[in-house]
Amino acid sequence: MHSIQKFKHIKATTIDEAASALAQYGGKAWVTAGGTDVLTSMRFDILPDSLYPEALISLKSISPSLDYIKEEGGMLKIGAMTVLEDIAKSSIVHDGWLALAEAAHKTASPHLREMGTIGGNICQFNRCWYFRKEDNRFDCLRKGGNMCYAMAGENRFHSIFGAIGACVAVNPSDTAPALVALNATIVTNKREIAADDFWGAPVPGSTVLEEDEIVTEIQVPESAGKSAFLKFALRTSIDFPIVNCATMVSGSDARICLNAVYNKPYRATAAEDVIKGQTIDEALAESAGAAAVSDASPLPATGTWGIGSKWKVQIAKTLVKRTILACV
Amino acid sequence: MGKIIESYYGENTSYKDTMFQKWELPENMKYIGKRGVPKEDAHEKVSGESIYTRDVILPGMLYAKQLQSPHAHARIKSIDISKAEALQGVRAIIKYDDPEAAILQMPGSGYGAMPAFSAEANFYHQPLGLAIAADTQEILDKAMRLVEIEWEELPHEIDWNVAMKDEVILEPDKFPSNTKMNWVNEYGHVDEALEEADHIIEWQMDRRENSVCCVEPMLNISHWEGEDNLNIWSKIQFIQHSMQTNFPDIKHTKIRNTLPTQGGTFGGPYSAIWGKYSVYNRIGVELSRKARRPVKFMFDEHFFCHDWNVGSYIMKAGFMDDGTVVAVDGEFRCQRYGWFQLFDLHEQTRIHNMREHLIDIVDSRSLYTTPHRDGGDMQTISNMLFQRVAGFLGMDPTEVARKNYGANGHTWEELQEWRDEHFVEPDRNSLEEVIAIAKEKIDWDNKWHAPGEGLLPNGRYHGIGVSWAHEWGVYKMASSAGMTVMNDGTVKLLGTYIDCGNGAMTTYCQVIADVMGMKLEDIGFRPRDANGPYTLWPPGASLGCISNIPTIVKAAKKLKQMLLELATQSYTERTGLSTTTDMPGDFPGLTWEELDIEDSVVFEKANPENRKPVIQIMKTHEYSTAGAYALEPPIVDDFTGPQLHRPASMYQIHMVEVEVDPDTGQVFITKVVNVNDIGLAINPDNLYGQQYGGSYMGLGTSNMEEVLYCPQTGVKLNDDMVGYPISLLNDIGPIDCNLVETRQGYGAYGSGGIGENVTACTYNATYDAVHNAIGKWLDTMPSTPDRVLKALGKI
Repeated sequence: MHSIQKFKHIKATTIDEAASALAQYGGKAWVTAGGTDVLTSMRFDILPDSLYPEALISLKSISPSLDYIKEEGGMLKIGAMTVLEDIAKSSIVHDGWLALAEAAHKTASPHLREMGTIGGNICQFNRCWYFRKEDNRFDCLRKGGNMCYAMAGENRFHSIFGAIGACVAVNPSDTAPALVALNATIVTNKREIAADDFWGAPVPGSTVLEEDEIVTEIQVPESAGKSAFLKFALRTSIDFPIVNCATMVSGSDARICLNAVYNKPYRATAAEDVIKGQTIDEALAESAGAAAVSDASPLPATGTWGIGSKWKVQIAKTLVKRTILACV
Repeated sequence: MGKIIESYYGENTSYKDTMFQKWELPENMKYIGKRGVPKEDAHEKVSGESIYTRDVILPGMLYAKQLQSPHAHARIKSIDISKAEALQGVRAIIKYDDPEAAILQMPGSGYGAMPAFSAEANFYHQPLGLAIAADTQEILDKAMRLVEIEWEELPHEIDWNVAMKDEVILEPDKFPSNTKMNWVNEYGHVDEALEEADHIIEWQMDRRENSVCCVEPMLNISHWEGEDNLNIWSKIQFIQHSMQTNFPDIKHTKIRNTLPTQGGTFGGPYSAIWGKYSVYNRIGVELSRKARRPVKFMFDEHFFCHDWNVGSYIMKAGFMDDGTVVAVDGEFRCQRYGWFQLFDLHEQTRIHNMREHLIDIVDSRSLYTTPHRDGGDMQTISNMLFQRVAGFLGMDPTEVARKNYGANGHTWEELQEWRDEHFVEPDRNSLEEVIAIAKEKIDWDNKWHAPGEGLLPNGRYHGIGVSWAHEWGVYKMASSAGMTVMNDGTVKLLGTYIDCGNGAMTTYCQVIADVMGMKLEDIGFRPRDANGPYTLWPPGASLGCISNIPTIVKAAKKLKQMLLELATQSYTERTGLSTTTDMPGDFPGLTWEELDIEDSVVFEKANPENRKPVIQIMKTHEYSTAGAYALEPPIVDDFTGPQLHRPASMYQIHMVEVEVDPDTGQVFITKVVNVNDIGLAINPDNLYGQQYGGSYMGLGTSNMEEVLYCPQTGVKLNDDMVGYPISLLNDIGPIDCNLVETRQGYGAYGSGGIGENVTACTYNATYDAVHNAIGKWLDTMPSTPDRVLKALGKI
């Protein structure tokens, strides 16, 4: 860990001002909300100088505040600066969109949830220990380099569904699969983006946001059914997910999304097709779980101690089954 | 008569002359054994007011770091520091080929000794070659980035089993083969015993690296006052060893050591990097000498994560139908620094025949691997043996324990004469007592079942496991202590000592209070100053208490006598000065034997109404000296233990209950029961704390913690608090802590140690419990979900 290199800190008072600053720096500025991912990334010096931010634009001083949770006409609206702990504890979210409340509750630890915002949680960098190794140790694909070290290296926590490009880092957000399953919309200063389309695999980011684009609000439509979220991690209280899964079942339809298994949240449409029009029972949920991972192509084990990512397929299958059953 | 006992090495050793003795407890004890005694340092720690070494800032202080290798094995071909030197605020740079680096290129001594300023790195993040001191941390980091280094990458291998094949010799200049050490120790007649055994089983288990992850990274602050006088503030465990090894060229009378509060040091500095024999802690000293400024020399948090307890165990065991083990034959492969893997097995059993084949392998993992810490390896091997035997025979593992426990190849019945001679209560059977309590607490008789047959209504497999061991601390280290009565009637313990949170400072004060008859609040020990002549063995918990409390007891008895003698003395007797009119003492006409102390008040035994507070005793004749009157000299008592292993009679047992999710492979630890025979619980709260802490460490390492390397580059990948999953409060179910007091320990009053072996044993209780749950033995630990799924045939 290092002292953070010098950067300019801009306290934006409006979204327009923040967006203007982003445009001014032409990709060399980052937006910061809770700062839990941004500052850690800078402190560990994970990026090359070419990608290191010259400025941080803080959204904490934005007016009107983006810190709110409200229900309007059956739609849930959450300001991008709302901290995860508030979402986890919100009776509005809990009563109407349980998967999201659970996802927020399962994110990080209480202290981090009091700092980290939902906007930051869905925009955080992907996770890979090669990408995030301190001192920019690995000049990997995600930083504009020429190779993915995890492909031939230690990859037990990496993708099971291949890669966009050749990077097998995974999206670690807990709230992202819940938003996809709940068919949410991400509102920015420029447009509205369906959660299904919000994530991508640019370098080094994880979303389709443009250089001067800022998430302002999350909108979740009224939930006609039940939803559930499950997370698998080694520790119960703080870890990033090894696999997580959110499912919403409405009538005989389901929306199912896995995360931490691919570069971006993975919509398990094959599992949804199994559910469609059927009465859910254990056998059907089991079949849906198997279908969810039917396209899996886990990474092979490397070295004596490597185990590859195949074991995550079993976890993913199980979580899909269990979230479906939890919605019944 | 001392019993002649055959030692591990085949020699005969008499225990007659050890310091082991039947200790009489102090009369009218008020503090020994009491719960709720306030910890000496509780308030300052929980309030955040403690000053750790990292908190210390001196006027004009510089910040310093050392270069760390980005490669697993590489040599510096060239290094250009011109840009770093030119950076404003850079005050001193030392690199490996500078003249002042000579002392830093000494290898030190002991385990893993290595030069601090090598030009070749043998593992990732090895500190080497270059150190910089600068005005601020920002300038320091910038200067580090400006250093231009041309590296020559060399072959590496992180798997010791592959390295030992010698396909590539990793350090040809030092070792012609990657097998650094290869020797066999045999005790008894293994081959003959195996032939006579009813059953023989063989297995291999690989134990992956764990990390200590101590909270405060290693550092020190150095400050030269003038040309000769050196001040050092250190986070370190063994300051005396470091002084002896690393400061041969500086007069120790010119060095002033200060030991601020230590931020979690349990075993952490016991390493090649910051260990007691390491010369790394000279780097800041030399930078300070060069810059003529105070220097804070720091490692970062990645040094939390050094490896320990790791290796491959290839075992063969012969045993009888009733579970009696007759022979053990093991091959142990690891990067280690000379330790015996069957040592504990020999110490705690009656097994006559055992052979260990020790293979010390050069590989490219962190050189500061310490495979033997906390008895982890040894207890893993020992317990794995009995668990496998019990599993093979379908026996209750506690029955297998009963068939095999003993000491140094003997049954306790064979050692009864020795027990009678040395124990206050020689007929108590410690193992039976701890088994009975543990079984009741976890409801063993109702919960233990055949392996794989504990399916629960929630769909998980239930498992229950057990591990056991002898007491922790069957030898004693050297210890000395000073003690004096202050002007205000309080008693001060003197001695260099490092408390990394175990709370032994309080334990020492309890003992002094009861031995002397003082109030606990009148006893004080703040061991920050490391410059006195007395040395208490650090850190002071298990081995520390065993080593230090006998010294403290003897000193306290002497001090009490001296205090009572003072109470009887007249002015002339006390000062040696003659006066025309002598002034009487506090208890004229009485001898010290006729007096006693209670609650810090001296009284006449025959007439308790005749009493005076200790403070008054100290102030009597106070005017007779200039300023302050203090006892001169302080009471000093050296007490150097024989350092022999004596038969360990006290036992501990640990039971762990788990649930295993068959679909995810996750192991949930739902209950833990610890029962330690501690001999005498001087401070039960501290001991329970050791059981809780040891459980979290042991169960975390057994269940999820694992240091991971990149097989392609040899780079350690999860050496931080995000990637290395230390178990947290929510990760382990209720922990039920229990103490037994048979007074058969090696320490004062028959006390013993506790903490490290709780860590070692709970690790293996998990191994047993997972087998009980799924009906399969894991061939690699920790019991992570992937390994469980593999054992279940799910992947």
